[in-house]
Amino acid sequence: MPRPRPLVAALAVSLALTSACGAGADDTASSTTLRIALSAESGALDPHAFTGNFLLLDALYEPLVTYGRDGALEPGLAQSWTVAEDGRQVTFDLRDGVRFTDGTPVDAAAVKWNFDRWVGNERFSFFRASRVITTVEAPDPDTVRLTLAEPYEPLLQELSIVRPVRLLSPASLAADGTFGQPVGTGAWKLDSTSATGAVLTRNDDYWGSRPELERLEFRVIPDSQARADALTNGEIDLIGGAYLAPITPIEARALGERDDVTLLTGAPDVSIMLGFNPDGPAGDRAVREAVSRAVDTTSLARTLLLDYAEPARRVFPPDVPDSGTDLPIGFDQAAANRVLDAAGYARDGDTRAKNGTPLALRLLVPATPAEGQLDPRTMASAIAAALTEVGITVEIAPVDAATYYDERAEGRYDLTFFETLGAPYDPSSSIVSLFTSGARAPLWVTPQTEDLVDKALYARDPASRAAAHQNLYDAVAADVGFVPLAYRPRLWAVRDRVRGFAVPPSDVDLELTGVSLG
Amino acid sequence: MTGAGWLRRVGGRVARWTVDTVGVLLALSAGTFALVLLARGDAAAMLAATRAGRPATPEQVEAVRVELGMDAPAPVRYARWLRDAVTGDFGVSLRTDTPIGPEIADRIGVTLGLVAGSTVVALTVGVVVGVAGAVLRRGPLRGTLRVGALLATSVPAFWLSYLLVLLLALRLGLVPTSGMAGPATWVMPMAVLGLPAAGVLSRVVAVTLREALDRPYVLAAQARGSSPLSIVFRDGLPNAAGPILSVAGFTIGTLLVGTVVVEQIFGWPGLGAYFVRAAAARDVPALQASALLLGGGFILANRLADVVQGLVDPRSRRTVGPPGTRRVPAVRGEPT
Repeated sequence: MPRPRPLVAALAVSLALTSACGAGADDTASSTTLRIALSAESGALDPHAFTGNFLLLDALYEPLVTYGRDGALEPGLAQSWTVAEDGRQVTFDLRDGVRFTDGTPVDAAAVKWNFDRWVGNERFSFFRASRVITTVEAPDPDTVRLTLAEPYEPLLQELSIVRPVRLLSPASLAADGTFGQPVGTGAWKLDSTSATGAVLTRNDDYWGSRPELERLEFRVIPDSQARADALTNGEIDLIGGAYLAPITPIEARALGERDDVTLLTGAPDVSIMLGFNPDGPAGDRAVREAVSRAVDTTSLARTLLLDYAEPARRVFPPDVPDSGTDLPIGFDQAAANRVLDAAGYARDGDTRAKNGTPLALRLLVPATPAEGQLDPRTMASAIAAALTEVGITVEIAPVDAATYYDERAEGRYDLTFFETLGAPYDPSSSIVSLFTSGARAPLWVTPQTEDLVDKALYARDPASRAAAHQNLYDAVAADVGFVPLAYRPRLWAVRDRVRGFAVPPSDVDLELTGVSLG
Repeated sequence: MTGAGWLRRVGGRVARWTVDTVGVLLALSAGTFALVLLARGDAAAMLAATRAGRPATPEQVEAVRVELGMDAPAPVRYARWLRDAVTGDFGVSLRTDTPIGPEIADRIGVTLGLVAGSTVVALTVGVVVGVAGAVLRRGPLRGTLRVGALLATSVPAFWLSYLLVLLLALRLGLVPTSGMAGPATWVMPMAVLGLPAAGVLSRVVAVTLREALDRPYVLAAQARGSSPLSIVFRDGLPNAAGPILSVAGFTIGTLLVGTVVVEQIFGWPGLGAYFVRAAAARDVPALQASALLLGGGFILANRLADVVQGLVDPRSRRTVGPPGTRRVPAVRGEPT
């Protein structure tokens, strides 16, 4: 794209002002190009780095194993795999005849080269698979064998995530060995990228089912209201998803009322929770139980998330693998009052107090909403109001986003919000970051949860894995270690000319194979 | 005055002006650095979490800190930054892992274009409305213009942006809702930035011009039978130019700050949007570089306005000239 010459353009504006130029975008829209909004520039599209947009990386690069609907693992660039009896070896049989878009064959050597870029690499230590895998071998061109330090059941699912496990062509590197061109095996290849967007074109040699669309035009629109406006104005065909172009519930409601736009909601994959700091008033189980009983999550979901969210009853939404069963919790204001009375928190006017100390909690929230989220201060106010009714004083402490994670890690709160990570990372990634002390700001940690997390991660078969996860959830619920609030809605919206679009299995996917334009 | 003496004087003034400006920029960079230090929120922690796609462990955060050289004491880090910045090397963005120099070079044109366009809008609308306000008698039109100017200066930029999108893009379909492609997309960002500035300018123009028109020489010109318009443009405006220019300089400076909001809403890949993202991510090197440019632009706009004002209105030069060059204030600015 030629860079606009500012002064020339500025002069051209006066012309534009005098000659009313129609900007109805729909009449110029092509029937083979899908226009997609992007909330931020795409970043460097290196699958082994951390800056690229998930969905663009997903369109360009493929994994050995694919995360399908309801968390089922499906063959990707590996057509099959076998796990050794002792769980310490996984052998992949690669799909035959697949090539990167630069013609390089996807053979065992190319896969090994990719794995060697992150296995055992200190920069990827957050990624447990990079520490569990000890050797990567290529016994023949069709076979890749991973040897593990210990049996690690979540490995296959972790190999379906976006970064750093997707496969890059070894021939694409720059002369100095750093990332050069984004060359993968995906259904799309990169045509151009800039600060204002990116263009992808169809990979006509794709091994799988070829998309009907020929081009994807991504346009960067940072402001979420502006994205919704661009969609309603016919300048964009598709918005939505947590990492693409998030939609807030308020925008969703406005879009849902339009005739020319279809709003799609996917099964939620993230839950929003209220967490406690045990070093303080919330260290008393009675206080935690009262809080969990005092908050009416049903009306919270209805009023604040406009019914696009369901009240939560578990650690993970039901569609996440091994999310267990609903926990025995729920709104009961009378019970909240009873628990506090019994624990010796006597009402004195509006606030309860015990041994002369008023029962006051600090609710820490980020002052700015995350992309596509409602303002957390609204949710905080609703919770504060509910707790005030049972005699607990709440001080809401809004801090800016960068500071928020610091304060949460330092435990400068009595109450604060937590979220799970979402597909395809869950449940294994979230149980580590929520229930173990190695995490930077865990939700609830006791020696028991640490032990149960290990049991869940290293379980050897589906039945014992499901049971181990359920034991973990039950242990946290028995401590009243958190309050499940809501399952976060997955919102997408398309213009009516887009046919065949369905909400993808996870918000890091861009599944456009069956999509066409009317 | 000899030519050499004049040269020496101008040379001295330029040298002092340069030293002055460099000093201000240094203070600005140190101030930004200190503010980022004081702001809670840890770039290393955010970066580690971004890499992991999840909250990082304390060990990971520490590893990132060492990797970025953030374990050195603050004065050392500032000195390192300054040493590189002087040679034009602004380091690597923590957020995108790419060199900042090229990233900013790509964006600065967008922001300068936006500011230039908005300046044209501000000056044109501001002067026209201001002149009208000065020469019109009290009446509904003058009142409307005053109220319009007041509104333009007092509504928040984001509100005005959404209003224009609603009206021009969604209702009338005249321009696209956002983006930067073709002249039509320039209309709203320039209006949102330019109109508040025009509101301020129009008041200054109206007041100073009215003052100038009350001077005796205007009466003389009227007696000579000059047309009202020629009186305004030949006698009134040149005399009112000084204060107008100094306000214009300041206003253009504030336009730079306004780009932060406007670029975000209209999806323009400029320096303002870059600055916002850098601040949110505690991307210190990117924040330093963009703050320095935005702040530097603000200072330069003001200083240039002073210089132009000095050229147009000799009376103002005594404030910037060396001592001993004070001249008797002229009643009329002669063209220079």
